[in-house]
Amino acid sequence: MTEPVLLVENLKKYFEIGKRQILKAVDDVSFTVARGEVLGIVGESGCGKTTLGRTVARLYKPTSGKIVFDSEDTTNKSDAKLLGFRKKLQMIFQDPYASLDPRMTAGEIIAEPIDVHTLARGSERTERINYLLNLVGLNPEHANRFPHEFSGGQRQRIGIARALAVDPEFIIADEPISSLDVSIQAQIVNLLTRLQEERGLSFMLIAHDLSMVRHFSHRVAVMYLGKIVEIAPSGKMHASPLHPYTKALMSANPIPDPVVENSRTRIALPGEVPSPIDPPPGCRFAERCPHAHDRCREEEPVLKEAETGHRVSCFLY
Amino acid sequence: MVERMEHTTTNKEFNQALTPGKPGKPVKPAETLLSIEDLHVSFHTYAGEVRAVRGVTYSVEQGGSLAVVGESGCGKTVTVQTVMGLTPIPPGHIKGGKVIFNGQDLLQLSEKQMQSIRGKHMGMIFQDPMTGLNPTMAVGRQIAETVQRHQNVSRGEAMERAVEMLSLVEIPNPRVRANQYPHQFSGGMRQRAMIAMALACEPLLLIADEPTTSLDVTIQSQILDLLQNLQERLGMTILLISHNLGVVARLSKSIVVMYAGKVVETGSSSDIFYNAAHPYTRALLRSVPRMDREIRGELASIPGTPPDLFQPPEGCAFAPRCKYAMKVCTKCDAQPIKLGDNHYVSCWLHHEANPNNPFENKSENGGRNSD
Repeated sequence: MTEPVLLVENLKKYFEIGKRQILKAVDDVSFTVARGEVLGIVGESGCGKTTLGRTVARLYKPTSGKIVFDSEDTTNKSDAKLLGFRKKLQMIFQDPYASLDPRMTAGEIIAEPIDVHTLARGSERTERINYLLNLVGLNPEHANRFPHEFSGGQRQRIGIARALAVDPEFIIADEPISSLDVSIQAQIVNLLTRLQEERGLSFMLIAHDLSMVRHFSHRVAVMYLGKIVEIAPSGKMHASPLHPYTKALMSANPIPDPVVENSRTRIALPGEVPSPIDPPPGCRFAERCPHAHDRCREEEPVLKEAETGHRVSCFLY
Repeated sequence: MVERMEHTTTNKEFNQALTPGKPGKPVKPAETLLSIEDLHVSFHTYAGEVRAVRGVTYSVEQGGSLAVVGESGCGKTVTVQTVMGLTPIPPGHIKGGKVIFNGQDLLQLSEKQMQSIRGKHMGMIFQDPMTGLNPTMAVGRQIAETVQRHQNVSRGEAMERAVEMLSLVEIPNPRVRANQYPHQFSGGMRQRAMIAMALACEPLLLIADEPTTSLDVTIQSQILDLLQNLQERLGMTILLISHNLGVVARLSKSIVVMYAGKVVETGSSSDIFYNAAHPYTRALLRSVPRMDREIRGELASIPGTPPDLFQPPEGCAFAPRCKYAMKVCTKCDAQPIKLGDNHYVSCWLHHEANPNNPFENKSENGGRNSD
């Protein structure tokens, strides 16, 4: 594989909350994304997947670790110096109702990044806006409308057009479809797949929906309580997951087929995800893990290669 | 250890309490418990009349599990809210139809009469357990309140019952938990508490409106297990509202598919999942990727968006998005056509006068999961 477009090493993002308590949202995470690759990040709420995305996008300042994007270390750059980086990396957000300014028209929303980066002026700018609207399946007439005049799916299209306005290389999409209806989800996923393939975009897709992640990603990383517990090519991850948490997560995800669904054996996980404020020592999954033994509660496993390209952080392998 | 023992006794008692034949409980197996007939509900807004429910008919059998699936705004929630008598009037307006529950037309009852049925014979759990629970009241007290409202028991007895219910829904340390407030509960625990509250008076019907939508998958799985267990043990009737086809596949025996305020198809779970007849149902099923399949590429998406219910289309509401739409579809709405025992579809393609039904030969493409 050629040099990865994104390299993340031992990234930590801690938040100080209240009386000197520390919430370890992302705790020592390392991974790479190759050019033109889609990396899916899955996990349940509170696992740190959104914080990871925002830290990589440098919306948050990392606590420690290293982020190298396009051979450029962006870990500690100031906002002013990040302008060039932001032109290459864009984000798509979960809630298209909250992520679009209600007082701006769709055209203004899409034009903003063009203006910030002074990419086009005058008629060229208008042309670019129209081109972007067309690209995401909207009409140029939509440019003068306000967000409230659009449906959820259309709003998400505006969000995608805004992200594409600067012609980025890399997109971080944080739950881009979870607020949409099923039939609209498919439209947006198809749009993202088409854009990804046509433009050779690299993606970090953050989602909780395993089936969507499987559909769209080349590789998948599973997070639990601030850590990546398993990372593997998408097909491999779904065919033969190794980590007990991944197995449980997959078995919990219902399949829309009653015969398959009623004949599956499910791994029921006891309890709930512990607080990331005081994560348990040793393996963070140990207290819910059906295979946990003494070592798991004392020593923390590290992510290591179990098979080619398939890394897992568990003493069983 | 003590709690564990309590737990078992409770279940037994609860089981006995709901055994058919108990005096005063009109329980007869395999009978229609709830039947909704040609229900029309509109909302009057400043922008005009929203025809949210436009002639919905379906029924739930005693001890059955029926799921209503459809996208946001299809009227699935408004229908059950009307059943529960929870539709705000105004702006809501029930334009016609009947809701027969246990032999009684609920739409003819006064609010006072509804209050004696709601919570007692019908329980409901909502999507967001935080809005369903009172944040200023201890969880056990809230459950006890329901019990006291409907049963002639003392405050202490009602509280005892609340603790029993919390252990029935598998909340650890129910006695301690009963004195805690909703914010001290996690999302999954809150939903369990909601279920406990809905079941406290041993209702004949449990309406679950998107019960797991706000939960994580592993917690969702726990809640679904709980509902499944409770249904098997208590012979409870569940009416599930969901947009998640996976959840529906797991929990429900029969399915109603709604679109734009109308029922487009009803049938058993296998009718709908393997022999779907309505183009909307088929498209919906194909638009969800499956975790057990490896396909990257185009998902079958449905073009366009659902219609505006201020001015619902004249003919079939799905016609503008339907690739099989014929001339008749845009003019007249199809009536339900019987395809099998309990399988009905409202689609002109299946009308006997249509010579080229694209779905006629269902076995040709392998039957299940195909189109």
